[in-house]
Amino acid sequence: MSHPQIAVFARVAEGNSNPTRKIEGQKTLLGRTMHAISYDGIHDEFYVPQPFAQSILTFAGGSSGETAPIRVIEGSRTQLSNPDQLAVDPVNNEIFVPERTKVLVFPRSANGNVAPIRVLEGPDTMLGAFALAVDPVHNLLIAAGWQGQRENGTKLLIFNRTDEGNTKPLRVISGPKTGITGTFGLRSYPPGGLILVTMPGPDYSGSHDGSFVGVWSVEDNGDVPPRWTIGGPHGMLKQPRGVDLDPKNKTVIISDKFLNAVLTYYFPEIF
Amino acid sequence: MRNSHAQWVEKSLIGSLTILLGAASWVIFSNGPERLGGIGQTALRIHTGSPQLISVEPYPEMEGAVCEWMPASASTSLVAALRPAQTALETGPASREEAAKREPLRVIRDSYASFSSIAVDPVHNEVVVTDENMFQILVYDRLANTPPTATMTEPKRVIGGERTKIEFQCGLYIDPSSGDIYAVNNDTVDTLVIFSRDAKGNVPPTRELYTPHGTFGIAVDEEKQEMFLTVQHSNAVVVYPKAAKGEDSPIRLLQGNRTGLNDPHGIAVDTKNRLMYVTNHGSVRDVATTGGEVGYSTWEGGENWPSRQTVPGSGRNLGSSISVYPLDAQGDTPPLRVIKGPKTQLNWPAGIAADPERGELYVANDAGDAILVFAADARGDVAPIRILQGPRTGIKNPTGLFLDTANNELWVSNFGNHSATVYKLSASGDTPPLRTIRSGPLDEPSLMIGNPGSVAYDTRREEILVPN
Repeated sequence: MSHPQIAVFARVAEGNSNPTRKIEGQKTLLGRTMHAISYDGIHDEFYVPQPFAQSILTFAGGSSGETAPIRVIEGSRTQLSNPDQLAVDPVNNEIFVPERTKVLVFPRSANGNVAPIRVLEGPDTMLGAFALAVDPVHNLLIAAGWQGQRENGTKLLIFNRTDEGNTKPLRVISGPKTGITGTFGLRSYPPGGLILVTMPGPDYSGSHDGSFVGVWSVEDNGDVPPRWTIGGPHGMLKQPRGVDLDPKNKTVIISDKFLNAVLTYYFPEIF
Repeated sequence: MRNSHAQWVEKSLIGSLTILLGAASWVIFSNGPERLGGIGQTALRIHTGSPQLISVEPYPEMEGAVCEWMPASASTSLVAALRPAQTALETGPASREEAAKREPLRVIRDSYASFSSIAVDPVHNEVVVTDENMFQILVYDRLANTPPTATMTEPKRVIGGERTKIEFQCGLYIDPSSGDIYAVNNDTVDTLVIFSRDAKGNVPPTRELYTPHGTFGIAVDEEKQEMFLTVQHSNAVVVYPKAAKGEDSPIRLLQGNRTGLNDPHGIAVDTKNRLMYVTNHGSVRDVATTGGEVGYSTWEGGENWPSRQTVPGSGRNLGSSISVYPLDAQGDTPPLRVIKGPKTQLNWPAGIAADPERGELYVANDAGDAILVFAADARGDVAPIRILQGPRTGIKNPTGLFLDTANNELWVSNFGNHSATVYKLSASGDTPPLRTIRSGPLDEPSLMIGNPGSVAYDTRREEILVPN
């Protein structure tokens, strides 16, 4: 796309509402293809990956305009190769970065050329890691990704949060009943022990009428259908990418690449 | 007792629905059927391959005709009328199936086309733009001019819909003899699509070329019939025969750690002086000569295909620049010179065009809301010789530009305000445009949301963060 930016909208914005602020410009160090963003309400910071510069950028919560990040993880010790997504654990102060066959873990406050403090990697892990979520309440790390074909090889892998090395997942959610034909964004809801996963279908392009956001429990295992689906299948979602939650207002917020839109669903059942 | 209560609930529900439908109908029809808006309109205005629904009256092919001004309040009124249906959800938990059918409470979505790149067909007197928001190519009369009170100018033709393979089109080239439209897919579709001049609607491309992932800019050397494409994801320039199609391979590749290609965007060729100019946003990671890790997934092409092997931990951001190469540069060739530094004012430069007759280089400076004009032989940290910038210019987040030397005009696609603006080539300072073509109402916010790959909720400020 033509223009990298982080646009910020009021919770109740809709239609062509003006953003309340934007983060953009050379000093921000942003690039396109930001496939993850995580807001940390405890420390009032947000975090984005920058795969073109192999870096992780941390911004102050209220950043606006052409503002430099307050911390940058970048350099030869980081092992960062294609940091496409990330997840942040504000309770245990860690940043998790998926690198397909491995997961790199950094201190949340890391800055500069720092090595990961843990690496989850090896054949027993079953990674494919494309997206990650952390549940500090149940002390879990959830990975979504695939080995082989995205359409039929995508799994949700549930690990102990502190697992490292060649460790088997505790539980694996996969199979035809799950409806998983490719995932993109992932978010946990720790108070409810839930995992929310965007399901844009097997392709990155076009629209997919079977798109939805699936909700599973962190206790689910095997070929189990989602407990809830949001926005479909056969709903308004066409290529859902990102997902986050607003527990106070009992809503689920979803970005959709095909619609170039952000949709807010009232979904009290999961809160 | 239960039966009478059920009947009461049923009657109340029917009554409420009647009132709701009446309210919605009033909102819709009291403003005229062309004023559909809000969620309903947003849902309708997905990529249909046809001009988006503005009016129920069919438009004939018009030479830049304009629509009447309409208030944005129509959409918010409809949303407000529908709101009670959503709050009714609070009456109790739904079944899994019912919940799956639930409509969103709110949708943030730009209702108007966002122009990313632009080119002129001087033979047929048309200007062509790509729209990243609704995945379209729009063709306007070159002399169209949207009055300030008009909602938009109606395009003469629109190409869009899933059969077209148009998504995030960032680069555009018009064949000067045939009028064929070359539109570069930047992101989710690794295909250069080529349409005949008169294509419209949801039609497949006349020709397709399967490209590396992340192509952005396009330029053509008509003398040698060669086509140049920049590739963001692998910091490369690939050169194809202009007539390439399908899985044809590039005939040259410029890529390597000495090239100075750092997140390349726009590209221009100067066939008179045999030079190639590339704008860079600045991010780079080293190409691994042996080993390395695959940076991202895409299909593998053949000869002269950019390497996807990168060195982990080698990434950095070197800042915005323009790098200049021999026109036939290939391999790991360093630039002849680089324009870079604080005096240049470069800030995410995107589209670029060279005018060898005037000895000038024009740059769409996206994050600087400006057109920067450099001497064609500029190097190092030098100031532009002219800057077109300011509130009267109408320039906002320019991502594309085009030099119409036949008419002595400079065209700019403003991604940030639903407009294309045109100036004299020599324009500078805060000069108003000669003409403006708008796809949306004046001052209507342009959200610039493009491939929103994620979303986050700021619980402290109650705000939604949307990265592109």
